Amino acid sequence: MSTLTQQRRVGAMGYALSVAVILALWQYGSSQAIIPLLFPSPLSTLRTAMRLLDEGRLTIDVIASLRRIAIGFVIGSSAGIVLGMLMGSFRAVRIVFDPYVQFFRALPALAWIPAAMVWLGTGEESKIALLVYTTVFVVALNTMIGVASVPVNQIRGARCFGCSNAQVFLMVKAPATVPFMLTGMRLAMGNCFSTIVAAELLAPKNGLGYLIFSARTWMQTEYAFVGIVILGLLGLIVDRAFVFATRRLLQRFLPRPNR
Amino acid sequence: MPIEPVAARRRAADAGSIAIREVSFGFGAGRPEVLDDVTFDVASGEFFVLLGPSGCGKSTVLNLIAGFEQPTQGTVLASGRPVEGAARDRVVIFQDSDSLYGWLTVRDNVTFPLRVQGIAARERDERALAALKVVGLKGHEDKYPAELSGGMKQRTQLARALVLDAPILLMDEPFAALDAQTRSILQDELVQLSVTMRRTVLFITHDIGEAILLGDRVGIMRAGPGSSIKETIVVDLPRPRRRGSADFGTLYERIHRSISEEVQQALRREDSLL
Repeated sequence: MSTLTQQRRVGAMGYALSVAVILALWQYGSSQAIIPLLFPSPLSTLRTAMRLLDEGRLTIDVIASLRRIAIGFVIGSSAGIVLGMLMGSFRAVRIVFDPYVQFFRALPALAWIPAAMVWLGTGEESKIALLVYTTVFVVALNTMIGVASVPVNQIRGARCFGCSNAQVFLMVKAPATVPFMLTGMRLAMGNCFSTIVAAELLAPKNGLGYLIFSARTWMQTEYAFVGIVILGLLGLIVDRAFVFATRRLLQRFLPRPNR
Repeated sequence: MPIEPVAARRRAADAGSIAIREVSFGFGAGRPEVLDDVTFDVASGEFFVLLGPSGCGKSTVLNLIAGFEQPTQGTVLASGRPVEGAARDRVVIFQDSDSLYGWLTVRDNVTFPLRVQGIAARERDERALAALKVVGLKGHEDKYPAELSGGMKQRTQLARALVLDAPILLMDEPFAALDAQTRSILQDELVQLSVTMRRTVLFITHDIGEAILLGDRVGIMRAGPGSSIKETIVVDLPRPRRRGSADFGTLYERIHRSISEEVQQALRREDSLL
């Protein structure tokens, strides 16, 4: 057995142990709660999840949330990449947009919920708009930094080879910036999972955020716990899938240790 | 009147030549001049080495010829025409291999300049393969730069410059970051190559041995700031030159003394300023 598989096995055991300890503590803690209703145990959470799955509701909620995230993330990333590339390449664009990017980047989507509701109504548009908002500035900022970090010799070399400005942009700056775009997108994806909960406060009919908040109305604390656990797991899976997919599909753009 | 024929002959002789006339360069008011009144010529097909202590402005001269920077005073001519920005007739080989495109294979790096011109894929690959053969990288076409050793990266840069048939090659300490063994192998190969490829080369180095080994002439620069050409030495040793030969040693001593004077004068200047 190679040391690598040995290391992996030890790593997996570590993970399993850590999860087991947390679940045990959670189970013990909820058993000590005076009113179990207020602090559902992992087992009762699991039972509720199974029931919601049986009823078909959980599947609907998961698909609804993921669909919103996917749409918002794709629109926001595309816009962010274009904006970041332009800001990185043209001083005028950077001067005009930089204050806004810096301002809105620090302002959470949560603050925009009332405005989004008034402007865009309570349908899908407002929820997706909040997710686009969450994505676009982080991606733009990282892309902009990426353009600034393209080695000067790569650009000078391209000039020697007779590249026009457009060719430098498309053949050098854009591919050289890919790792930074991906970093921005990965950060944005994580943020999308927190924004979705807030976005689904807006008169929702479905979604994991809705599942979590509906707990309040009927004192069904398990619903909130099911929503939290599923959302956390989805965030983890989507992040892993993102890393896996970029390694498979965009390997040649990613930085590698030099020999 | 024989004006036309003379002008025509002049143009042909100018192809690939470099002329630097009374060039000064600085990064703006209040900061010391980097170059002050630099003048020299490189003939078409000549291998000219620019030698000088670190920080004397060697790379700045190269950047001016490449068109990356504009002189504050004086003129820079390439093939008899004033330099206005970078162009395909002058290709730079950089010291740092970070000028290779990491997302492209060796082959695609070498075909890059051809792709810019919209040359058909088949011709691109043929020319790239020929260039890779010349630099001894055949069989490594599908590797990425990160998979190459330092020497192989510089070979890739050289191949990428050779596919273009540019009359002028500007080499900015291309071997300085390599280990001694690899450096000496690449130096020998460049000597052989320079005989067959018939291009004008401006080669920058701070290594005296490298300058004598490669150059037809060696221009020695003064220590900065406000550097210029101190003297130009013709290296009339037969090629291939042997590092151990007596003539090589004599010339080495002579150049070494000239540079030491510069460095010592620069140190004295600094002392008197303190």
